[in-house]
Amino acid sequence: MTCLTIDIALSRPASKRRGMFHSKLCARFAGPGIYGISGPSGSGKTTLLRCLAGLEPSATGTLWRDDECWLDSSRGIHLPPQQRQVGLVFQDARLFPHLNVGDNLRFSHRRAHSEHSLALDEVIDWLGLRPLLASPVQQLSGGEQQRVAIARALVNAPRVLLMDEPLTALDSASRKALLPKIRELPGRFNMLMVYVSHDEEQIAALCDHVVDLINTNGALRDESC
Amino acid sequence: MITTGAPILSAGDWQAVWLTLYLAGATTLLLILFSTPLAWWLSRTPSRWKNVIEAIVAVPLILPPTVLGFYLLVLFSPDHFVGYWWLEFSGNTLAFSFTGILIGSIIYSLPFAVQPLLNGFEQFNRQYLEVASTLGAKPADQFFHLVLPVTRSSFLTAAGLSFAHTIGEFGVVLMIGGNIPGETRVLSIALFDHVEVMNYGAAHWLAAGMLLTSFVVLLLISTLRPGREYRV
Repeated sequence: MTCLTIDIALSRPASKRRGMFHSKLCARFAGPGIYGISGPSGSGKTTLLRCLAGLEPSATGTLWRDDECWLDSSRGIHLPPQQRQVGLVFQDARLFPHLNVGDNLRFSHRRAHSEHSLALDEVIDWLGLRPLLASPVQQLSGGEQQRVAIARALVNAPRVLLMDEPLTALDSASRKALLPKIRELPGRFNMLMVYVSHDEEQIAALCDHVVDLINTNGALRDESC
Repeated sequence: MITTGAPILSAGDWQAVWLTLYLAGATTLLLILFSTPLAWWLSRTPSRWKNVIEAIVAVPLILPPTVLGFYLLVLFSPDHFVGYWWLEFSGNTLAFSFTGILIGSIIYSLPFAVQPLLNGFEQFNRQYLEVASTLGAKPADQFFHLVLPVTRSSFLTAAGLSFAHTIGEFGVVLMIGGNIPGETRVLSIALFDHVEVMNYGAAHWLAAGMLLTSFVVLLLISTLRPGREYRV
């Protein structure tokens, strides 16, 4: 079982009009299961996920995965993303443009931590990607791109899978097709997942636990600790 | 008029051909090695020195080659500490040597290597690097397996332009290299020699060869460039 213990904050200049932008999250996520973070757009949900992934160097506070310290700003510890074993699925799929579908997956699989690596074929079949393996990523529909992005994150065998509005850019048909797959994912691959969306319905349909972030004066607060 | 069976290009001309290709190849290789980190740094730095460095890199574009050659000649002289240091270090002078014109070529063609690489790196979507780092790819891995393949047409352009531009240089070589066969007598100098003694037959062959080479290099660059599909 994976457990994330989070007490992080991030402040940075947002815009001239709004002054400083603050994000704060204090929570404990224990998996497998889906933890949802909801809140209006612009409230800093994406920034929080990026802090968890290690992509925000100015994040402060502490962050532990089980007994491994990812972040402790007071002790100057900031583990880079490469060492965190997190998967991050972005709103735009961000597939590597010079590689076809199969090579995008192999790029990730080759760099996976071997001790609990997932079988490439299992993930490919589960998401129905076999007919697409030789396709250039530019030829995929939005739904297909997002399926490949999820598969690419999965075959890297992350301890924690972070999803940032993965369904928002899709049409409703692809959204309906992908939703049950995401619901099924944590149980099937024994994974802790953090899912961010502004869409309350989506969060309700998917998540086992929800952290609601209330946006006040650009400050994001959650006292679920 | 060509009336005899004697070859039009002498052995000396062929020597100039090989020397020129060797100079252009070495210049291109060293320029790519040197310009890649420079262009990468320029493409991401918020430093206010960025504009200054970019301007310095671009200076050879508009500077008369003789001006660059003149300063290099002064620098290479054993009276100057650079030239003196090199003489002590290697036992040879930099002026009127192959190493000297190689250094001159690198400076002279620098903007032709840096500019295309800088354009490519600036268009490269940094978000791919974030994805790669969450997948466990370290910076060198990201560069060789992501940045390099995605921006390969910029590398092709940089290499092609550096190569062709080095073949075409004259003023810098004339100032710092002189006309030493096998050492500094490159094609453009050999052509000049032929014209001076009214040997138009050989001059035509050299000129046409260089024209054709330049054209082929530019054609290769535009043919081998991948389409715009990478600019996602």
